[in-house]
Amino acid sequence: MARSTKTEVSKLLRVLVVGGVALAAAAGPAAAAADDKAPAEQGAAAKAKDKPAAKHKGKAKEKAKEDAKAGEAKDSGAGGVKGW
Amino acid sequence: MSGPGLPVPDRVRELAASAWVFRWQVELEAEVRFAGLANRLESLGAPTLIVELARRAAGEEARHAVLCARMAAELGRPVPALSPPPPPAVAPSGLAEEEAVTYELTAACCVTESVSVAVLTALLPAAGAPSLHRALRELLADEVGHARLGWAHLALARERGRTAFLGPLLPAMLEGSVDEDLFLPVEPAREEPALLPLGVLPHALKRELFARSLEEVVFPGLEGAGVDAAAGRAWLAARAGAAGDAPASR
Ligand SMILES: [Fe+2]
Ligand SMILES: [Fe+2]
Repeated sequence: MARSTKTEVSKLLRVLVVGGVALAAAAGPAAAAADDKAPAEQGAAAKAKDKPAAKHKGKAKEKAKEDAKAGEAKDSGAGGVKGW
Repeated sequence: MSGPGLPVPDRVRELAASAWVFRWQVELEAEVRFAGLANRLESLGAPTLIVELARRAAGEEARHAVLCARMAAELGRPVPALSPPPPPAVAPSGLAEEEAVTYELTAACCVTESVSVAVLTALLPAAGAPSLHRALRELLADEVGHARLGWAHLALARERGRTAFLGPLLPAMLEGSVDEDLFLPVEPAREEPALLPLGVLPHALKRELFARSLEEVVFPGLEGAGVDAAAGRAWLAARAGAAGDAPASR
């Protein structure tokens, strides 16, 4: 690939990802939405913080759940979006 | 695959035309996808700015479809009279609605729109006709916004601790985003540099740009948003390895 194309691609991290994160900051109230929508989860998260063992167990459980999800991903119709 | 026996310039033109027809279809599907996502984001209580960006993106994709149809027609291949059917859902079944929306925005925006921006950026300086140059510039400006929408949503989802589930799903997401033959050898006409001034990347360059976009934009972006991209990186290494590509230098 031409050197200029390489440079262009590496610039996109800032243009797209950092640009998106800035947009999120401008968009604002993700935290407010969390307060409204997931009080049970927030409570659970706070409890897990108090108990490191529980947090660890939760993480392992989460990991197992993710591994299972990956195996099932194909069967469950997980796909992607075709573009240019 | 061997060519149909046409002289190369005709075959190249034909390939370019069919690429623009395919893009017309992709843009119409994106219109429907963004319109649906805007409604779903609104129902989930997403910030107004995010909802509005998704809604605006739907309108922009409709305009892109018109541009792509025009390019296809200029190359001698009018698009079908009937629009394609609505796109299928891409999120795996069994996800909660919030996660399903995050999955779809990640697939459509963080992956596909980010790669599209890289493709358009590469195509722009090679565009032959002024009308093509104008069209690519217009598309590029909008697709930057669409990619940012995805990264913005992901940053917000990260604040809520709702992004880690994406990691193991990345291989399926990436697999579904590429043409079946992206990592395979193709007929020589598809590697013709003469495709570039018609707004189409030669196959090997398309593959290289896709891989580089994942390595330099998508994977770091995902990792920054709390997604373990290891499974995605492994998928790319396996696919690029099978295609005989050397891993891109850092
Ligand atoms: Fe578009
Ligand atoms: Fe787009």
